[in-house]
Amino acid sequence: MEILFEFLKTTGFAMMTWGNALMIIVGIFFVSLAIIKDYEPLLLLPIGFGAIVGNIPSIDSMALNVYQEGSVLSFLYLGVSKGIYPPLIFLGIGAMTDFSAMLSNPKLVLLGAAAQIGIFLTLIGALYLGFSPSESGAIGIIGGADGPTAIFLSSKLAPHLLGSIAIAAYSYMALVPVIQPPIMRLLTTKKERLIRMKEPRHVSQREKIIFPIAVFLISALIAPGSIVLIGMLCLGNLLKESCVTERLANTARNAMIDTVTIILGFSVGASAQAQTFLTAQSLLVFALGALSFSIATAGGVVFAKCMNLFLRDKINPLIGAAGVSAVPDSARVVQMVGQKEDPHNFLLMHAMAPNVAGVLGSAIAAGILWSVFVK
Amino acid sequence: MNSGVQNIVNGQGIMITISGMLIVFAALAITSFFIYLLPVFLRIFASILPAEETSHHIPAFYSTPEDEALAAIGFALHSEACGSMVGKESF
Repeated sequence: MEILFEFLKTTGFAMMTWGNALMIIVGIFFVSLAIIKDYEPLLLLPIGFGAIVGNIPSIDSMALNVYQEGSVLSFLYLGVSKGIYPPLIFLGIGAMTDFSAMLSNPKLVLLGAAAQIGIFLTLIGALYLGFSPSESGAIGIIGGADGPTAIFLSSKLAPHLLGSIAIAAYSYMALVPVIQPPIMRLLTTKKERLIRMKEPRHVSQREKIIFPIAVFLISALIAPGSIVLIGMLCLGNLLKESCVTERLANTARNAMIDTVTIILGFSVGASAQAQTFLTAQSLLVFALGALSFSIATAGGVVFAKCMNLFLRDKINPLIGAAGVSAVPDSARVVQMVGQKEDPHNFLLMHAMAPNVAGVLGSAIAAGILWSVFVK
Repeated sequence: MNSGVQNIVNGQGIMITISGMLIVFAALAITSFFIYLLPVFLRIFASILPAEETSHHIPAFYSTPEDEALAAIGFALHSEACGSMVGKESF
């Protein structure tokens, strides 16, 4: 009988705190959003389920959760805490990205730079709220709307905030269709939203092959901190565009990225334990993340409007919002908002240019912050 | 946690923001300029390095008209042997 009572003390029911229960509900909410609303299911489903798993309480001596040395989950989490998964994800993204839209209209690349203002202004906001400079840099990167980049940088600059930054980054990426449209409508007139853009020009295969090598050299020489992320992105793209490594490109953009996404999402979710996650600091990270994301969206749209002052062929300022690099969701949102005004206006291809430029921009920004704050 | 403007000053927030944005813009502006010039360079180099006629994707054993005809006959025979199943899959 005593053994039974001892066993009952070790059950999850006996050790459950209100925080764990709340986080399990949050996990179920994420899973529901993924299944019912189809919001970034590839990310939210593993993250949500990971949050459920990570919040089942257990006795310390059993070494079950991600923070306990020797547990299976801690080994999976190593790829997050050591920054291994993000470059692998970038390899896959590179192998599935077609840079043609960007190559056909190079001026749109600048929109990907403008949207990075969200990162740096949020850094100031985080400093103002009392976060240390390296913590502020890690929080600011949420505005890049790039989950792997956010994880990579926070694992280097503020490992103790990694869980909340990763959850915030992926949550806001999933909420792109909710966050961006009101900002886009607020900052543009109906006339601007109706602007139709010229058809993109044909891009030769040689241009596509030369581009990843050149862009890597430019980015890496200017911001060496971006070598890992941009390097893997460009390698993936070269595998795709070279046409001689189709098998490798296929593996990178299918099996490999899927495997890493599952493990990354699950282990990030499992790291969101109530004891480490439900803190005032995490709430501030979430608030700053939302601010960062909104500023980034606004930055891209406003910069597109500024560009229009000097351009003969006007660009639709809505595509500026795609500079936040949540590929391809923000480009899809641009298409959706544009088509609400004019069902025959196809902005998707145009929006893909700032979208992929945003990936480069946020990786360069992460490289800069890493170089500045590295100890 | 301390808070306030002093933290921004101590953390060099404004300088990092200005220089960070300048570097991001510089990197992407150079990239943009490179992309703009790339077709011009390629046109110049096209005379020196003309594009290859053949593609990596075309298997050598389908390269002659005879082999293509054989492949077509083979496909027709296979379709006939499979009967209606092939038709259902295709349409």
